[in-house]
Amino acid sequence: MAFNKKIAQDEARRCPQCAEATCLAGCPLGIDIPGFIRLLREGDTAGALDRIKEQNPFASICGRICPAPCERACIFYADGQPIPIRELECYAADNGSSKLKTASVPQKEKVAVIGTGPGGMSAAYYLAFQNFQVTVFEALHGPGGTLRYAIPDFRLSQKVLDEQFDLLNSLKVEIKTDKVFGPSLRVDEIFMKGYKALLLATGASVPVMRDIRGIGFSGVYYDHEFLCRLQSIGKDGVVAQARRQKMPGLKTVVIGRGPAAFDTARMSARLGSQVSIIIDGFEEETGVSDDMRKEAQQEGVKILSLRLMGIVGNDNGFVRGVECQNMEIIEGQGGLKLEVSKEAPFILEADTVIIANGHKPNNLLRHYLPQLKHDDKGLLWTDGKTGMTSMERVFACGSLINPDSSVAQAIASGKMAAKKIIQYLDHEKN
Amino acid sequence: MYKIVHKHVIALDIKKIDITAPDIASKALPGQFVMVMPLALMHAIPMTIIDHDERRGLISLLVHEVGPATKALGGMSITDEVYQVVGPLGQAAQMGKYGLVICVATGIGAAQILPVCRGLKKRGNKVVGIIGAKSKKELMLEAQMRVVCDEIFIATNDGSYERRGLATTILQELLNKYKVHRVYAIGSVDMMKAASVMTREKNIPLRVTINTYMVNGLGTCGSCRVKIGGGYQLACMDGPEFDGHLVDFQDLSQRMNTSGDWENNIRPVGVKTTGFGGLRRLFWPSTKK
Repeated sequence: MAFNKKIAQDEARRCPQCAEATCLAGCPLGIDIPGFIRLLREGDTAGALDRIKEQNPFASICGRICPAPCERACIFYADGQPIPIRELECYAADNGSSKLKTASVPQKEKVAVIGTGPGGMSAAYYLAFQNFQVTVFEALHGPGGTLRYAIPDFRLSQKVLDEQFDLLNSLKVEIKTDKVFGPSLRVDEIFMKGYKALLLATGASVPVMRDIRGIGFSGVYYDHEFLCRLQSIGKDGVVAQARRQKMPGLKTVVIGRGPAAFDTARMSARLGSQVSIIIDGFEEETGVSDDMRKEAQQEGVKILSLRLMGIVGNDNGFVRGVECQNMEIIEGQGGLKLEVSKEAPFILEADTVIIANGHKPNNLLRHYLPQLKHDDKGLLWTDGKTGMTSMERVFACGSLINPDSSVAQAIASGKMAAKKIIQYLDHEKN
Repeated sequence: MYKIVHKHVIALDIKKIDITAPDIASKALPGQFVMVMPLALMHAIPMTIIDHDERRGLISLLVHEVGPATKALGGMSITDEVYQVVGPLGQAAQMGKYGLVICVATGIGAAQILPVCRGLKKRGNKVVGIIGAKSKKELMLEAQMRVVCDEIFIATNDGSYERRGLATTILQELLNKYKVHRVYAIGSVDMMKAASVMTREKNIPLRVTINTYMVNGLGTCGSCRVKIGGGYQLACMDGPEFDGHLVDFQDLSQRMNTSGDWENNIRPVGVKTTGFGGLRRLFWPSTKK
């Protein structure tokens, strides 16, 4: 799918360079979209990349997996042919070479970041860029968090991810893996080692458990569970290879509508399973970009508008299928609506059912930092002005404070947290 | 870094190994576990820390050789290095001074109950241990349990050692005879379910430890979910010890066979197996830490 020079320039020329660009409002990171497209049009790929990197240090990640809200905001979106901003960003990231400074000698205060997901990465980048001594702690064996274990290889290859960590290494960011915040790394220990601030970027990874009838049958997985088992660190090992053959089965049903649902669906389709995604609404109402939906459909994923009634299993405790009801299009007030038809429910056969229903933060902070304040929705509370949690010197960013945020939102949140930490530490010094 | 310094066979297919891991040894609490990846490119296995020596920086683990990863770990020799050990994970076992406490364990559960018994004893409880095993060959940690428990009962299914029968039969007898303040049960789902029924009748608090299938033990996926009192909780983060009266055992027994039998029968395919040397080259990391 990657663009070559000709297509990239043609597409860049298509951009009308609106005086009041609507795409700017779509980007959570605030990238100067018309600016970098103008540079691309002139053939200055390096300049375009620099322009992107002013706001987004990880252009090659966003260029691949961003849900591209900017394309939805593009004035050509209604015609069905928006400017492919995400692909242009990817083109610039792959072909341009950034001229921005990379090596610097850290001499300011020590800051600890927990988690190497998109939020932690971007915060570490911006802190290190301002010459802070940054240490990032990661619980898993390889850095990257969600980007590594929950994004399939075909969307974001491990090589691209490793390049981002080379970038962080060149900024003298120290990455310590196998360190679990809480049980093997206590808060007081971090502050005792001389860190002046702590950023929590542990993200949201636990699936929201839905009470669906028959959810306990074998062969029912949650999205991250499915991807983790196939993609965890030993993914080239014998076990992971055997899982790749056996786990998806012959017929897979995915329940859910977010990007994770499409990732798991495409993953099992690529492993040779017949996949259908069940959504409770129109096909167009899936929470992903049109590109992603079309790509999935090209790979053989069917999207069905059905109402889920429950999961049925056989006597051995394994999944036999999914019970659902047809939906009918009904003309009502405010346009077309889908409603459950009066026909009897039928069973859609499946040997694997995957539930993708959103994620929430795990209970680690509640167990190990019970003094942290949570808001009434159960999310971590942060002060709007200082970005600090209810504990002095402890900050938070990413999915921890805004669950199910996209990669671009997480990077933006990490950037904001870095800014707040710098503000706090500067204020403290004076 | 994680060097095996000691290893011995304690029962059929069961080995005890000591690994140097000073960071983990200094923080471990009874009931917590570690995730061990024996060689690179294998999956990690959860293992209870049965003993830890802070001064020498050692943790002891019990390996039950059932799958490819546990077999690889059991096959490693002294001075070999384990690829990765992450921990301590999970919540510590609930402990306090209760009075008379019964600790029941079957099978590999004996390894998990030992640190719990030790902790309870240290807090001044009267600890009675019950160990169940299939046969004498599979009975383990008897000597260690005799040291930490005030009294110990052993049941083997085939009657090859001490009493013939089930551990739960002994538990029932003891519950009828004495005023018991608390019960800890670790082992098969059937045993924990039976213990739950018995203790609920007499209104005695019960703690059970759950060993559902885990991928990385860090709360990232939700494959170790357990139904507790209507809602789901994660065994790796919120457990592994739970209130035995709230656990939905029917759901649990379904969850326990999720990985299927095939996961335990994986063999390296298309690779020349020239003894452990060949396997070692296959699995050994090209880039050592």
